[in-house]
Amino acid sequence: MNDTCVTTREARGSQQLKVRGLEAWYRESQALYGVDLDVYPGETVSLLGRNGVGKTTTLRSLMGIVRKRTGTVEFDQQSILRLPLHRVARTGIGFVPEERGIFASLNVEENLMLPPLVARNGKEMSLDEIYTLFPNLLERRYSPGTKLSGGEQQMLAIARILRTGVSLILLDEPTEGLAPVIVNRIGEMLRALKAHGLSVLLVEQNFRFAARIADHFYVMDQGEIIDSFAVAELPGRREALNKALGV
Amino acid sequence: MTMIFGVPLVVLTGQVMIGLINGSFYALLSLGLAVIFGLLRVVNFAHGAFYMLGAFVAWMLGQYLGLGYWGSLLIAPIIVGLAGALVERTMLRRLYDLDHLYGLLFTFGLALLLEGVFQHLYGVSGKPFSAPVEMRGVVRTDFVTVPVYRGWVVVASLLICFGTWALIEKTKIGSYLRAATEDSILVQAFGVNVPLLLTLTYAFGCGLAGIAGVLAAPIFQVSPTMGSNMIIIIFAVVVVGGMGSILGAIATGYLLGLVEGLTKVFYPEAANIAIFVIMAIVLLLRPAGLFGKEN
Repeated sequence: MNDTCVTTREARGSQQLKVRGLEAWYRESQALYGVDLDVYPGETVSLLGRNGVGKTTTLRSLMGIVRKRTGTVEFDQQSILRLPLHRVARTGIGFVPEERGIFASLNVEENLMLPPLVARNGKEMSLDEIYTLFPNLLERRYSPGTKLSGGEQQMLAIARILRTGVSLILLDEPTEGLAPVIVNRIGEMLRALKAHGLSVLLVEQNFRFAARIADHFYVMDQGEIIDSFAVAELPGRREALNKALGV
Repeated sequence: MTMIFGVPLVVLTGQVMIGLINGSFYALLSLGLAVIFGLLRVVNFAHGAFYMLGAFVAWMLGQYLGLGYWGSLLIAPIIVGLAGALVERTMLRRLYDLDHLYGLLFTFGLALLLEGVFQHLYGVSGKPFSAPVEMRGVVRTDFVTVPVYRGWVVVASLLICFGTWALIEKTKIGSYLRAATEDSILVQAFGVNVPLLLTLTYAFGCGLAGIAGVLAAPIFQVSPTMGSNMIIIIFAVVVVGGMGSILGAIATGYLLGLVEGLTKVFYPEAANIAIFVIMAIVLLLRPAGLFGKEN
């Protein structure tokens, strides 16, 4: 079973994101103890684990927001660990933070237009396409970004990254605090991204949500990856997973 | 003669004009201070020194290069802005990760240094600087008397203040600045060169102080201490307006200039402390300032 999984992943080509032995520190206290993970082109990978095991820290370390790190992080075969923070996005990685990061002093359209384009590769979405997909953003484009509902803010946070033409999105807890009907909307959106050929590294507490859209899973505990499996292996692992995730 | 509250109208409007002129400088200076504080979280104590530098550079451009007022008004602020950029790149940015107090101490030291250098080179007495020939006249009407140059200062200050406001509120680079003021790390993670934005912002704020310095040169004397006389009032203005509020800094600048001018008419003894009394009252009632957001 493990073999079939490896073949399917490798059928996608070489790793788009390759992380080996990533350790990270907040000042003096170590938060990551050697994270190994891969994201293949076009794949949606979900990072599971209980609160405080280092999932968000992993995303922030990959992005370069957490600066004190060692190990290997390669994106499209290029090492990005030593790049200044603003250069990481330009390699084609977009970040959607857990708190969504919608700016109150910018209106909806300014929020959408804020991140600079990183690539013109056919993956970037035009403003028109975004407004077609999210008519409520069009309707409220001159309101302050933070006047939107939680679900609309989440869609805005994802949409503004789609506009930039990144090929990998680091997505932190997109469903947190949202009503089930909105969670379904976000799920549809992520499937649309996948169809578009974008890779997603998704941190999610909501395991049932992640199970519906991810191709591959990593389980984290205490700053380490403790398990890795493909979606096909999921049914046989539910019980062990429930234990590991404490649900 | 028309009287209002027992004061001749001409005296009253004269003081209102003086208040507006002082307010013009308060607004220009506190605006730069507010923009810098908003993004860099640095209380720029050197702001008065950059104001003085603007006046001195204009004087030097005229003295040594024979450049006229209008040329100086254009070039001196650019030179001051470049000086600000140099200070930010080589020194100030090393302090961002430390306690904010270090930025304040550094800029305070820089202000003393600049003032000392100019005192050493040019003495304390001050250098005369004349208004351009075409602005030496006086406009007299029945109810107000205004020297043309002072009228120009008010107009120029209004234009620059609202130009800056529009730059910040209505343009792309302004949206970077507003967003980075809220969360600079996220903006940088989106691919915006925030370190460069910080340099530009500091340079721009210093350049605004430089413009104020050139505008002030024909009204006050060009002297090494002109900045330190001004900076304390400017801090009071920023505190009353609310730290980091752009419109607040502009509006409060003019407002306090007017209040100060009117105090001179009605209760001259209090003119020098009026601004600080208002600051104390505002701090008691609304600690975040008139236009600041209460957290």
